[in-house]
Amino acid sequence: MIAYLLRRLAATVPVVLGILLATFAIQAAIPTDAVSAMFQGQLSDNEAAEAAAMLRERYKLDRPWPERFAHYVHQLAHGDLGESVRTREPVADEIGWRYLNTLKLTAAALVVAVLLGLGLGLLAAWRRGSWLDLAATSLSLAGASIPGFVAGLLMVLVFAVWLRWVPVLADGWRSLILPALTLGLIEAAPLARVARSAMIEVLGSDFIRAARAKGMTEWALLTRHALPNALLAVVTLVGLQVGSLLGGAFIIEVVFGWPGIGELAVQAIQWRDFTITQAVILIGALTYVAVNLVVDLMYALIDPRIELGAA
Amino acid sequence: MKPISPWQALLRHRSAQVGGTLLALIMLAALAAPAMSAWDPIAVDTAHRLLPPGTEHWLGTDELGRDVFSRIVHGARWFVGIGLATLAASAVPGIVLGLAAGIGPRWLNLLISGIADVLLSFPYVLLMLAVVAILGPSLGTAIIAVGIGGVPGYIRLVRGEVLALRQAEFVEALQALGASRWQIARRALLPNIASPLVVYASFVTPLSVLAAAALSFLGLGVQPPAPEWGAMLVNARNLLLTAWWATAAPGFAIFLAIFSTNLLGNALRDVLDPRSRWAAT
Amino acid sequence: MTAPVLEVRNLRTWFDQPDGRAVRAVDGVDLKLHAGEVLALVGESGSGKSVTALSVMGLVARPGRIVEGNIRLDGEDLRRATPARLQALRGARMAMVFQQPRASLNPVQRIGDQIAEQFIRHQGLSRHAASARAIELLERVEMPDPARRARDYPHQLSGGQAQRVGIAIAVALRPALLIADEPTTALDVTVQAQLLRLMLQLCHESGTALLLVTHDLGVVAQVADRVAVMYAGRVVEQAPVTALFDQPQHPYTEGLIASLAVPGQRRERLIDIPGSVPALDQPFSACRFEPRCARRIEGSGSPCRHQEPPWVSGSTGAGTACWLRTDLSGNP
Repeated sequence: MIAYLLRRLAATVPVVLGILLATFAIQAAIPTDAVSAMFQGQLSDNEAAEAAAMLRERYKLDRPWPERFAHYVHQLAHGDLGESVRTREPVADEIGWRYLNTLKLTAAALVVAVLLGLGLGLLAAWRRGSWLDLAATSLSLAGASIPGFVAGLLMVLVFAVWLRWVPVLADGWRSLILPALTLGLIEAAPLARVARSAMIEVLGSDFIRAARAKGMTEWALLTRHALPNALLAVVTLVGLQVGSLLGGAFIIEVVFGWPGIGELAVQAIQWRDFTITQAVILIGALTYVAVNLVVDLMYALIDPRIELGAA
Repeated sequence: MKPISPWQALLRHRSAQVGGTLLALIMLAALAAPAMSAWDPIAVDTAHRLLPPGTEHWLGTDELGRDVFSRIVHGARWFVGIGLATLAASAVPGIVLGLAAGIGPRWLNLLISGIADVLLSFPYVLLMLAVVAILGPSLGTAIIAVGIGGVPGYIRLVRGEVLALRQAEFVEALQALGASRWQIARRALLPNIASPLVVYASFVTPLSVLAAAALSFLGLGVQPPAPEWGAMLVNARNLLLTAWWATAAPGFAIFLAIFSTNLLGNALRDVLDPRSRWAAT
Repeated sequence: MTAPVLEVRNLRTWFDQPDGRAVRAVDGVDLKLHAGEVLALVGESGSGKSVTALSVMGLVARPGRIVEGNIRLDGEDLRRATPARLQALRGARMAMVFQQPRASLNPVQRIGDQIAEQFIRHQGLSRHAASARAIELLERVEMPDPARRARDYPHQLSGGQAQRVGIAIAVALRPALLIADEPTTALDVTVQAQLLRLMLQLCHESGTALLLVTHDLGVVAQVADRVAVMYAGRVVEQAPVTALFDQPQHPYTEGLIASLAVPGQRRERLIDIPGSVPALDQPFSACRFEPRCARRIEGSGSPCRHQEPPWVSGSTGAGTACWLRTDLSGNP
């Protein structure tokens, strides 16, 4: 078990390195000479000059690349994320509370996706060939064909504008409902499909037949024998889905105006606010890596074959 | 029982029929767009903004008075064009690198696979945002960003298939006859990876187009006034109360396009799986 | 003669195909089994022997279904039983051991728990008591170090050990009928002998009737009291084991026995039965074995080619279905 954990940690090293390089590369968009010229039209001349100076200072624009990279890593190691180019406020302040919001959205969406996707998929497998199965499969296919931003707009249109179940500009926890539901529904589609096929495969396997021969009740069969085995495949997918959930959250935030780091990132890119862009992508990618690690750990706990190093 | 050709099986497959028909309609719109609507898709006409669907404007007008139907139909061109561009941007480097990794020396294999793995560890959206951040928002950037996102998948697929084929006897036979690596690649490997490649491409290309549309929606890809379906939704939230048709139309168009390619992709996968090609006569 | 533990009459189990035709895997099978008896059900792949076993247990899955027939366990009509009743019977009154031992165990459950499950489910024992019984059982099936191995997972066991667990699960509640579907085919020859002996012993101890499905005549000779030979979905011969080997009545049985490679006996060629099993998706209007039969009656008026031979039984209950043993009016 420990060996497995260490191996997994070691595997993340090149990935983290890749993330650092990629976020570092964002600097490359900064022209070394006419820095302030970039901000013409957005900032006043004074502000533009200040921003240019700040950028030169922070990124050591006149130094060679390798030195710049070392400097960058050094800053990160000390938790220094710099200041926003636009507002000159510390990046960490801006990101902190937004990051929590994004996590809230992602977590809520994950719950929706897992409950809906698993529930539908498992039901469809159990009652294979019935109308329930057909409905679930069609919904799944349709859900996989709707991009996040379209689904979000559709949800707002139907539930806020037409049905008026949710106010268009909600606040508090109520404002989480629609975005979380939208994101969750979209991610539920592939989950339902995989849960269904995993369950079907498990239900057709030898040990299920043997369990039936033991006289197990249908309920015991499903919950104690079929489900745990089908879940293995599902957990893998959930792990992979966290990535698309995170990315989807970015887009959903823009659609619904949810104040998370996704909304921030898009604005930052449009305003060429390099420090914020870098920080958001860095944090997003690191979050993804961390979650994947946790998922792999869970997988190891569930599957006894991995625990003992057999896999 | 005798085998039927993939084409016949495809034509009989229900998903293929539905999906194929829809896709053909989209292609038709792409080709014949100017003929299908008299209105100029980018002509601004503030006097006639936010008109509901009617006899003059079949799908109404948007916030700048532009005819929505015309924009949708011209948008089909963008859809097809972006599809082909992203396909090329992902598939060409992906196939070449995948082949190189599969038939080249071991260090090359490790290098390419390593890069592909690292790229794949990035969430798709973040990767694209990073590329856009570096290159600045534009159509070209969107294609490159989406293309880069798609390359690792192709590398993995091609590499995997090639490595498996290398063990096959007929490849050994060719080597014994003295064929060079590139000859082997051309004659033996490429034809055999064609099927899985086609299936994979049919699934992944619509996702790439979707990603490009998402970027445009965020204002980071195709810029207005281009009638690309994603870009048409940039102001969508504000329009929902006043002119929902301007939002519903591009949204529905995107959904229909992706849905039909999904259907076709499912059918292709069913058909190209060798076991399902045997049909009772 | 006491009532039979298992009585199967005219069992037909068909598998529906997408094109509308059905594969008649079992097409009219009669079997009878008494307490403490060992009946071997023999045939090559595709003969329908496994499907027969599954049909008795009620484990035939879509697209298969029992089309016709009577199955009685201790006199109880299984085909009329409710699903709940069947669930109560399975594992407790009739049990099964499968061909692939490790694949028949739940990969994510400890084997001790898988045995204990039986006591909890059917006898309402507590987990503690059930676990204790499970360890006792592991000892009975000659598993080394039973208390420790009870905590193992299936992938940690060898094939032979896993099958011991399978046997333990099957005999836990002392069922009246034990069906073993090729229980040793996937295992080493040495382990085969051990496990067969073990099963025989356990069955004798509790008076359990054993229906042993196998394609291996060697195993049959060692273990069986009576033998039923199946071909293309039907039983073509049934006899006590010695009588079968000494005086086979059906040409197929003859062929099977002849093709046994006996170690120590040199032969010029290995003898086999030419041809292959016929397709089972059409009804038969002639003897199923006729195309491969070395003893078929030739001539255009031959009954072998025009009519299914009827079953003819002798005084000992043995019997066969072959035109050589009966004249056209059904007399031997």
